[in-house]
Amino acid sequence: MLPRLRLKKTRRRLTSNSKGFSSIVGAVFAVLVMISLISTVFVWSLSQNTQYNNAVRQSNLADLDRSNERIQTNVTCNRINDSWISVNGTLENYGSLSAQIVTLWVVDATNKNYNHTALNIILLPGNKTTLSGSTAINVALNNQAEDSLSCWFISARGNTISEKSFLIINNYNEGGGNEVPPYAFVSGGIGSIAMDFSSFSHYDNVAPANGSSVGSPVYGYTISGIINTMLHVKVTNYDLYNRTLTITGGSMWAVTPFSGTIKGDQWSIANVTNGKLITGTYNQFINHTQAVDLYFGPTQASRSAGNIVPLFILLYGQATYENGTKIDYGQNLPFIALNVT
Amino acid sequence: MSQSLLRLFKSKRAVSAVISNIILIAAVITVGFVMLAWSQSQSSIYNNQYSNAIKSDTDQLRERAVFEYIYYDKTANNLTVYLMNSGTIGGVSIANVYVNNTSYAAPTLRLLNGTQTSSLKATQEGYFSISPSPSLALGKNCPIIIVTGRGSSFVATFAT
Repeated sequence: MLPRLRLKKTRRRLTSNSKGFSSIVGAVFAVLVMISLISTVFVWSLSQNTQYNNAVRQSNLADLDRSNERIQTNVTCNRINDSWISVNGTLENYGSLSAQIVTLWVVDATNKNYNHTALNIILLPGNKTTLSGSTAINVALNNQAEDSLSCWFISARGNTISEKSFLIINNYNEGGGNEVPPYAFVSGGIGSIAMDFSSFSHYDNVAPANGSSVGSPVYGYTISGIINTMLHVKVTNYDLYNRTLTITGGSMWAVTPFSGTIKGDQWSIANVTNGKLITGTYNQFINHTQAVDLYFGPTQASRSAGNIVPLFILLYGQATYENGTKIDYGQNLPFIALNVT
Repeated sequence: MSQSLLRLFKSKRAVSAVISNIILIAAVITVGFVMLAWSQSQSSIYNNQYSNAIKSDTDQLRERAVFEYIYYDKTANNLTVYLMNSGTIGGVSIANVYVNNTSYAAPTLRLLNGTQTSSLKATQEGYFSISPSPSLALGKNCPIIIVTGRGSSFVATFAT
């Protein structure tokens, strides 16, 4: 028999025989229903998982944004009167995300007072906001002169920005006068030690021996290069972080070599007590806001003779935090020039 | 034709087989529907449970709380904790607070203006106060853990 005829005969037999056909249709329907149910549950589960994954991704993104928020503050707290504090300075967003500052906290650590104020400062990437004059933030806070203050900002993402301590040195804004930056702020920009320029003096003809008298101070900026001189200046510790500073031996007052000199003169830091030179190990502690006299020499400034020379006070030692942590500290104080004859 | 029908009705042969088939089909259909209803009900319960679990997990993921300031008044033995809901979901309530491993259940939460609230909305700030027992020693660092109503925990350390 030809294959074509055989196929035709088989098809005819199948279509003409209805036995079992309903079972096949029923089975097909059952399978369809099962597939439909399973696929529905599967797709639904998948959508739930997608929802969860989205939440995880959003959460991670929020955390990432939060950690990438970069806001730099340079602010100070000034006392206005017994009941008000003024926060001045700048807020700069140097991150790549815009930021919103929502709260400012101010704490008077001395009197255990604190307060907060709501803010709505939007900082676009690269933006800088100045808080000064009419834009300064005033916070009601009972305080007294020389109280220790802290302030910090809270961003909408939950970051705490710039917790710094300040000492209220004086009533700068008392009576509505001109706003004067506190010393701590000024010295914070150039170092912790501020020099009293007007206190500079020198002592002439001081013998470099233990117990020798330094004599009387001479206020002026001309010294002789053929006699032993000692230099003196008064400095104050205005450290921004209330650290105690220790100035150690090796610190000096030096003349930087310049044209006309091969090597500069230098005056090593020295201990002078009750008008007498005390030789030996040098350690000078300077507590926060404490003013101390620093003496250097005696030295014969022969190399600088005949020149007007720049002087640099090179101070080295340690800064000690209130919790006892110590770190190296070094500062260079310029500003004084001498005519060495 | 009418004779054929008459013969069919009169014939008693195979009646029992037809009836049994009908009963069998009815039983199968009934059981089938019962099974379908049961499976749908189970599927629905599973869906609900899974949906709730996923929602709970995602809500918990979105919760963030940051401590703005913690102040301990030794004289009054009062610990005040200022915090902000920095997450992307509201309804952040405080279920438990642990200070020095001592638990304080559901402290009264207030907004910064003093209004009592059960939870914090997104970006909202608030505070709660507790009286630690025993009182805290001064000059120490104390850990504090807050557990939210959704089960998230946030940790901070403060100096007394």
